[in-house]
Amino acid sequence: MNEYSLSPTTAWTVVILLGGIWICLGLWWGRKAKNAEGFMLAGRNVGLSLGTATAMATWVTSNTMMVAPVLALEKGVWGMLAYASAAFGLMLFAPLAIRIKKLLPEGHTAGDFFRERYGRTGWVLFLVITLLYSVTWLVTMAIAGGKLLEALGGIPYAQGMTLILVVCVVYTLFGGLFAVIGTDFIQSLIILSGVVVIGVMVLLKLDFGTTYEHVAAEQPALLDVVMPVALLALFNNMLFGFGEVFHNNVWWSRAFAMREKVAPKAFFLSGLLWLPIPVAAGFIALAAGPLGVNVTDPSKVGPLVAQHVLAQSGLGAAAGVIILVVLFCSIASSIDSLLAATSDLLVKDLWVGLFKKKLSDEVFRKVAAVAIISVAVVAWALALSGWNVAKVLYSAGGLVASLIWPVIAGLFWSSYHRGLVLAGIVLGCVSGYLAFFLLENYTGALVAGAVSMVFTLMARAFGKPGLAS
Amino acid sequence: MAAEAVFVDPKDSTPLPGEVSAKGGVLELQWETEAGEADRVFVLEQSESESFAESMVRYRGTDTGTYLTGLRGGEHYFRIKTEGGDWSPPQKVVMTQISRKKLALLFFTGLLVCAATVGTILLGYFRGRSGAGDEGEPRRDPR
Repeated sequence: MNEYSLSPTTAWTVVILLGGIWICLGLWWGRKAKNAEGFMLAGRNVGLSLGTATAMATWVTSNTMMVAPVLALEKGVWGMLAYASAAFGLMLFAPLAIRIKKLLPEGHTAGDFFRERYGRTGWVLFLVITLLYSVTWLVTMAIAGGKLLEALGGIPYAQGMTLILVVCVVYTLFGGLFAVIGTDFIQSLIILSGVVVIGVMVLLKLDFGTTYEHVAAEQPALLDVVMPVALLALFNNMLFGFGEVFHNNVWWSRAFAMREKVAPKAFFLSGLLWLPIPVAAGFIALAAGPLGVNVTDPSKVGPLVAQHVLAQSGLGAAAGVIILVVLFCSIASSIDSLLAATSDLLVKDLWVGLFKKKLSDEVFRKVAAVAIISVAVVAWALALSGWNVAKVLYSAGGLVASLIWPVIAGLFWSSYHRGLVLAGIVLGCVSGYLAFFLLENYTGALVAGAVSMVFTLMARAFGKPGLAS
Repeated sequence: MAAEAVFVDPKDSTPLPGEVSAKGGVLELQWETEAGEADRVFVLEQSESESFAESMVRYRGTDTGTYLTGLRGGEHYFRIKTEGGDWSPPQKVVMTQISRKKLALLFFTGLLVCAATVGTILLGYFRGRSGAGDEGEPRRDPR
């Protein structure tokens, strides 16, 4: 599909207008951040509705809207379910959040936990892995943003990608976590409404009998009950989701920011609310063939089918605007969270923790600003490549999955052999990368999670009671 | 005279060899006309046999590529032409799947790890609620 439903001018206008709104709101909410604690953790007083909305909106990334459709397109219903299984990561983080609040009531970052439970070596290992993963995640979202603006508005990829990053950087700079959580609330409402409207319109356009016949004739493997790659994707994705949520400071900072009784409820509810979104996004992609949409770039299948359906419903150029607004919200809601959480790690763990620098509240904002901009510049430079979003994302699966069991052990067990856990993390990462490149795309997280689990269980068997040795 | 359309490698736009392999049921095809004219209407056909005795049209339009999914393991044949032109030579695609043995091993590994992860977290949570935690408070790092 080569015809754009939006002119580049309209696309620029929509993004700049939305960006302006987020920046103004960021400035408004940012006034509440009186000190470093306020900037990083929104005063540790986030309630249920804001907490649920921010967790859900952050988990609705550009990947949910653009990679979930790819999985459905390539793996049918299994693919849709595989992506949706990432909801369990949020739900399972609920019991972890209870322990986190209990063990680290004054904690600031996930790094605090790793430093206390795994010592300096474990802490540095965690920092390397999480920074590598966070940049990878950020790159996938920047690429998705650039491709989205290119597909919908004909804006050259590099310009669109830069525009989206700049907007998110500016309002995160001004408002910190207050701005991120506030904008997430509005963005989550827009995302939910948009996905429901587009999903219903696709449903109305499809005749299920014809759709089934079309898939049976042209994509027969999608109807197979045992589709090998899809079955692998199911567990790989689930473990990817566990690893991502359990370790990343995006989620830990939210757990620290929410009130004690609120955190578990908010994470569980956000998982429930998130669950239908990738299913709807995937369903839209499954409709590509039956609706006669030729897919040339799988990364763009979701927006292209949605655009086709809305345009056919008589919405014309408004179709492109609706899709752009919904997807821009999903991208912005995650980029801002990731920028804020990663800069917290850079400031608190690297600047203060590793390099032993003192930080007053006044200096904090300046260092945080430099950190946010630095992370964004690195992501921007890597995103210029325009790599395949799904491949970039899944290549990092092993990194996060190798941290699942160390987090569980650190939160729930008092005795384990620390060296074995750390060996499991390193070997998990290595084996995850090997599996991704040598075996199948959808095996990195699965293999890494298994290796790390074996080592962590051995660590428990060899640990001394009462001490993380 | 109508231009000949040919399949090309999506990575470097060089002509595809007569036989290529793909995996996971996914195939990216790209084509171009020798003369490189724009806005030509292309027709892409798929068949299970080289003779194209039975075939189906997979695409008709001006795009110069497509991304096919849901192809079963085995041999598939494709050919492309511009409307009114001649068919390209058949392009053989061998779709491979991961071996059943490897699949079973990875599948059950995934099932086991996921079940163990969920079980361990729930066990830790309920133990914590009943006050029977393993565990008590984990020790702090004595740095």
